[in-house]
Amino acid sequence: MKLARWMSLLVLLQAGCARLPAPGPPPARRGALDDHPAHYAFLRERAADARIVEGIGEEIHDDWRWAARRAVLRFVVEETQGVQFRVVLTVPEEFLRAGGRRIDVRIGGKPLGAIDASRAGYIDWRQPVPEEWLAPGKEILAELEADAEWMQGNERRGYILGSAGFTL
Amino acid sequence: MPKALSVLFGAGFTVLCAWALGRMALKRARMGLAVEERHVLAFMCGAPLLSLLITGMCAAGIVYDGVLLAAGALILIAAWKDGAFRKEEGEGLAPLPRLWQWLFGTVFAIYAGVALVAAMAPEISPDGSGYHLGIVSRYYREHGFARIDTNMYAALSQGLEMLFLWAFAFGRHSAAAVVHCAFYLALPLLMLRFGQRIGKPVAGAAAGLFFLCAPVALIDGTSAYTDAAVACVAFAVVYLAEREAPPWLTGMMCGFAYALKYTAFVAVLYPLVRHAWRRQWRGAALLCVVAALTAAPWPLRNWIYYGNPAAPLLNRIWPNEFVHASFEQEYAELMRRYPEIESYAQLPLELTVKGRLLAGFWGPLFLLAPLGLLALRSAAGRRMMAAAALFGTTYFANVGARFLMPAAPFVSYAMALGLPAPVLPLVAVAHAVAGFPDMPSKYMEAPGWRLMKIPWRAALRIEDEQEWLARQSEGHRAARLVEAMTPPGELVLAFSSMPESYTTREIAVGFQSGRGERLLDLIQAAMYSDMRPVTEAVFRMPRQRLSGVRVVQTNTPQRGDEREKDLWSIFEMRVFAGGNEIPPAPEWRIRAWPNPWGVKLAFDGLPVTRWRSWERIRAGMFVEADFGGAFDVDELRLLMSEDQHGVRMRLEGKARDGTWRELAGEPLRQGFPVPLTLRRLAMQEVRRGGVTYLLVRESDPQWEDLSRNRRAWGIRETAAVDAYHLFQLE
Repeated sequence: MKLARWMSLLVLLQAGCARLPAPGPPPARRGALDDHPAHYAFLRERAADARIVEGIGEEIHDDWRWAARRAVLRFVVEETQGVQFRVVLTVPEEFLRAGGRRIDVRIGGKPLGAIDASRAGYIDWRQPVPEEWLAPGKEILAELEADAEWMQGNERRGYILGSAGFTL
Repeated sequence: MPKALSVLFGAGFTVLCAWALGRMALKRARMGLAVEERHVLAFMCGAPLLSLLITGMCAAGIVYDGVLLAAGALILIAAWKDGAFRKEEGEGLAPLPRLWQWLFGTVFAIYAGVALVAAMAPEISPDGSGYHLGIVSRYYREHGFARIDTNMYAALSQGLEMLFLWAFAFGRHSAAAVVHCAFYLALPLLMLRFGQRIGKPVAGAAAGLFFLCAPVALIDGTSAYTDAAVACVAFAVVYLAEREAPPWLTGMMCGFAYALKYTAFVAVLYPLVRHAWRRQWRGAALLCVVAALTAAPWPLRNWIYYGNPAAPLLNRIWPNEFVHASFEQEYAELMRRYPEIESYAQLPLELTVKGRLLAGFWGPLFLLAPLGLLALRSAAGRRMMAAAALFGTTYFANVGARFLMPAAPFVSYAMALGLPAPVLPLVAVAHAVAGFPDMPSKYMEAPGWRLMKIPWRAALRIEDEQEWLARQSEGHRAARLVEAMTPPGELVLAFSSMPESYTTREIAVGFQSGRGERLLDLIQAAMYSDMRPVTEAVFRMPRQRLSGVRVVQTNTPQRGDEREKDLWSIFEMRVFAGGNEIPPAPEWRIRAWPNPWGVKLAFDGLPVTRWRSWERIRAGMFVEADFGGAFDVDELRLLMSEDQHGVRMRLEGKARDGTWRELAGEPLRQGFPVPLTLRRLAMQEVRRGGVTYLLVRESDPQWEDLSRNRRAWGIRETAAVDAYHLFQLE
């Protein structure tokens, strides 16, 4: 009992010393999250349709869409410095069987690099984009050109595209 | 030369005032001291009194040169009236043999000369020119205590810094170092007198030299550090206890030990055990009360300023914004095991003959420390060993060589008592030669922190102080750059420590405080891919009417788990119904545990500010929003980073009757588009946090991104020196 009394006293002392804020109202918002910005497209979202120029299916499978041999997207960036281009895709076995090995990436018509697609599986590809290739507020086309395609029924298929666009 | 005189005046005035107060205190203690003991003990016993006086002046905000001079004059007049300056007769202590008189006198005189010169030289020690004197100089500018929320070291006890402040007022940095040097030099004298007092004068003299000539003691004792003073006060506590000084006097020294350094709190145990052993309960109680009163200003200040009486420690017991518990955990682990120290078996050689990894070394002599066990044969030896063990208990909290300093005098004593008396002169001379600047470089490969030169030209200011400092220290050049290129009153965010005592601008070093960590986190959240807002955790549930939601973290990783150090964080918490967000309203009440202060950051609409637990994850942490009404809800989204893979969550909902129940387990995780303007947003928030400049060193991990993408960050370089770059926030 004595110990319990001492412990209670210690807890009280501790509580007296600690100065914790009471629950309060949320602050006034100083910004708003942009779920569908013009610089990046998650193909899981219907809003990504606005970013597609050609070569990407309309049908959404879970969180991806089929990309054809040549896929083109349009983006607008607010910042040009320290920016990378990112593509998240999955290479299917069928792509390899069709002889596919790489996907060339061009930004505004200029070659940025090539995605090594010589093995099946998930790829998260990023490449810094030269600042001078971009202009804030102006539309820019990004082209993904694979070196093969294959047929699924009557549909031309390339690879599984999860997302693409500009990021940090 | 006048500067050298002001250094000597500042330090001398401080030591003299401490001595005068001590003389008055000792007179009232009626201890029957011998002539040889009186002066050195007077300095020791006066130091806490002077420190307390300056603490009071700081609290009252009256630290002005004139007030200090007047207070010092009053102390000296009072001491003179009290007879402190009168020559006294009395019994003497056991005399030293002639050989030892010569040996101790010569070595002590040489080392004292070297130490005085080194201490008088402009201060360049990392911690001394950094926080010890950085904080002192801030107090001096503000004429008293200031709440410094950008430097956790400002919350440490500052008993010695109070004496530094007194000296700093007249002689600036070097005067403070000379005050510390006074303790370093007083300790061997105290050890000698103790030896004479217990009838072991040779052991006392030898032990004093063992300590005096140790390379780490020399460099530390001549810098504006506190370790030599802690060692000195620790020895004084044992001395007073063994001399059966009045409990109030010993208690005051024990409290002063805590005021010098938290870890020295163990000092009180030595006299306390003695009192308890003899069942002197009143004495024990008086001892504790006086010790507590002497130490009290520091926990009191910390509670008022930082909300944690033990700041910057024990932040989980007394949570506060000033120092995050996660930092404390990380820092404590780092201090327990320095880089490249993989086993404690490395310590003996590192501490004695290597010294590179533990920031200093004690010299080859201390390889003989195990021989100190032979001293257990005598009562004096057993007491010294007991004291060594007591003051060594806190060593493993920080394994740096200098943290053995409080135990070192007792280890030295045990060695001197254990070794055969005929070999002691040889051993002492060899140790003195081996420790002299810069002998260690002749027999050691890359020896650690030590005094390498005797900078007498700089000490006497024959060589210009600023030029010498600029040549010796890159950090000093950076501090001068900050001083020259930023307006007064600006806050500069730096990413690594610097000698902030050489600038009047406030420097927030990223890792040195909760505020600094939060500012740094803004930049890192925009800089590093795993810290950016790239993931959305989505809880979906059947549409239902709720009056609140709470996300609970459910994982407590096992010790050693790779996710053990994860912190939980949320950039934004958003509530949805039918795909539409329910915007936060003023009626809502939001809260979080831990870090209730930061919860607003999860509701401010900014993707760069985040609530962080600032504690390693454990089950039961939560973030909660009470709607103050009821809404239909079917989805909750958390914008998160990927640096928290150990986090597991569940969603709870508050029904209209006030009861909470689980709504969903682990959420779905999906990617979120990072705003390309994140860097600029981060810097805007840094600026909102009061920072107007960044000081970046090329070796800082942040340098590359900041320098390469300066326009994206919204910063421009205004000046540079060496590898330091000063950026202004636009």
